[in-house]
Amino acid sequence: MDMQVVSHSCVAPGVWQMELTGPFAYGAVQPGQFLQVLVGNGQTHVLRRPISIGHVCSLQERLTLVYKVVGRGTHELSQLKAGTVVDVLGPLGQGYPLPQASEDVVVFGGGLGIPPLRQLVEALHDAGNRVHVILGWASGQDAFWIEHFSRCAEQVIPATDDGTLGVHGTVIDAAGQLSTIGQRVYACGPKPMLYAVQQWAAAAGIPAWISLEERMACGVGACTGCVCQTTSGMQRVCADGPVFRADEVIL
Amino acid sequence: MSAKKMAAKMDTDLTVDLGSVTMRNPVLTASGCFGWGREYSQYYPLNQLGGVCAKAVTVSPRDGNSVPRVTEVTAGMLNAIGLANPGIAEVLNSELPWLAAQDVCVWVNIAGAALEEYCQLAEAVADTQLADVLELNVSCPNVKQGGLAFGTDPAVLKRLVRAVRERVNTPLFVKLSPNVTDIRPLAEAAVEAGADGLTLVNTLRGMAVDVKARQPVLSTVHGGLSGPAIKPVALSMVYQTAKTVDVPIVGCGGITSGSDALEFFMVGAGAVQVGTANFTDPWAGPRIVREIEEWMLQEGVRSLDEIRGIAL
Repeated sequence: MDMQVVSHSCVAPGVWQMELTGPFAYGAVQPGQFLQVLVGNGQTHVLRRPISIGHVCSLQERLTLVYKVVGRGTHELSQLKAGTVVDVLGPLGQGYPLPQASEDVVVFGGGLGIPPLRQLVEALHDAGNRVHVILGWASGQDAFWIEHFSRCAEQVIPATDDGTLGVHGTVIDAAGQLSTIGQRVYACGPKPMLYAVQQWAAAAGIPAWISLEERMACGVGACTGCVCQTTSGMQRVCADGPVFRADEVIL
Repeated sequence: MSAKKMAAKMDTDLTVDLGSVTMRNPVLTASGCFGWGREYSQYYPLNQLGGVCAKAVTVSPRDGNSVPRVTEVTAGMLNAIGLANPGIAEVLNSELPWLAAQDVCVWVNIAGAALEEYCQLAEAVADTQLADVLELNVSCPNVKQGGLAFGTDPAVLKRLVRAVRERVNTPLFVKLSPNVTDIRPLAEAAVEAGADGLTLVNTLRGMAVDVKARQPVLSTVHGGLSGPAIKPVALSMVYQTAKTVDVPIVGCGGITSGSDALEFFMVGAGAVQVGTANFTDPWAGPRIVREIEEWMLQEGVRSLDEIRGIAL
């Protein structure tokens, strides 16, 4: 379906925030779901780019995507001006399941895994949960959206590999600063980080959900291009995930 | 719409007759690009298509290759899925009956690692009487044994097709590989062995390198190239084959529009399979049907018989 670019700006080096509007099932979006975004007319770039939904505002009919320019397709996407039409498919995939009752929740985000966690943290906050967030980047200059998390979270702990912002180290190194280890854990980020979170949550005996990323083709579960190994066999990241229970994924 | 066009529309007939099988229109989905149809049935009723060619099925369940097993390249994509599927028993139990209830021509693509496996698969599918066509996958470049070998040696291919033909009466199409010097001896071998028709082509072997990581993108190094990039290759092979053999041909390779499909009809294809285009546009199949019909109306062509092979 066609949506219109409302605003499009750089939020960190090589990282873009695109706000879209148009006819869309805003209310149906679960935190952790993604869109398949078409680049150009689909003749040069035949595969859509899977981009997670960072923020949804049903009232204003807006949704926000954040992505990093990694190749020609995302570079072309980054050139789109406000007012341009973008063809998107979605919302796709299985998002994060929310707690039934109010809980203390710990959220780990790393780099470009951070955007979908904003929508998650907002939903958790709105449902009366107490959210504790750790956000990791390579360096302070890569950081974005801390202010959005601060609005809804009890605490937001930044961490950077080079120590230029927040804790010098990984998100797990920063976990010592949490005021509670919480009753459940959510995470999205690079695979080594997800592995560390998986181990951390298992050691603490807390249920955890992680969102995976994989190269995708169809995005709807038909081609089985983006699979991951789980305790119940191969699963499709796009359709069975991208969010999985951490103890079911073999990383 | 003018009265003349209205009259033409009433007369426009998209039905195609592929010898042993008739379809309501000439657009099929290509094997491996549409699963068993369930995922895309949320976007449109599958009976808007002429047919669905299901994902290749093997005797035993297969996980396929390690990821990454898909990547985009200019005007196309590479895949190295490796025939991931739940195996024939599960497919016949839970997938085929569902697809057969969708009021669409059902093509079942089978892939064996040995001649006997093809026969076993063909019989198992034929026994259900739920498949309208069996498509022999003799051209998958993504498995270590079998697959491509059957599709590159005419003598081996002939033995395989003959063996399957002797076991089942289901209409039999053979999907040929473009990874050969000359496709005509393979086409002739399949037809002489009793194939009812041919599907061409499967993917072309290719690869991509991740310059940043300094290594091949795909876990398998090589994969199958599909998408608009291969359309001229597929078209030229359909042309050559149509000049050589006298059985229905289903064109496949980079078809993204009605106009692309018409190119294939004009060089002798009786129908087309749409693969990668489903990923770009989930509604590609019905859109291509509509674009073909619009062209026929505009040109006053009432049946595709009028243009089939016209450019040969």
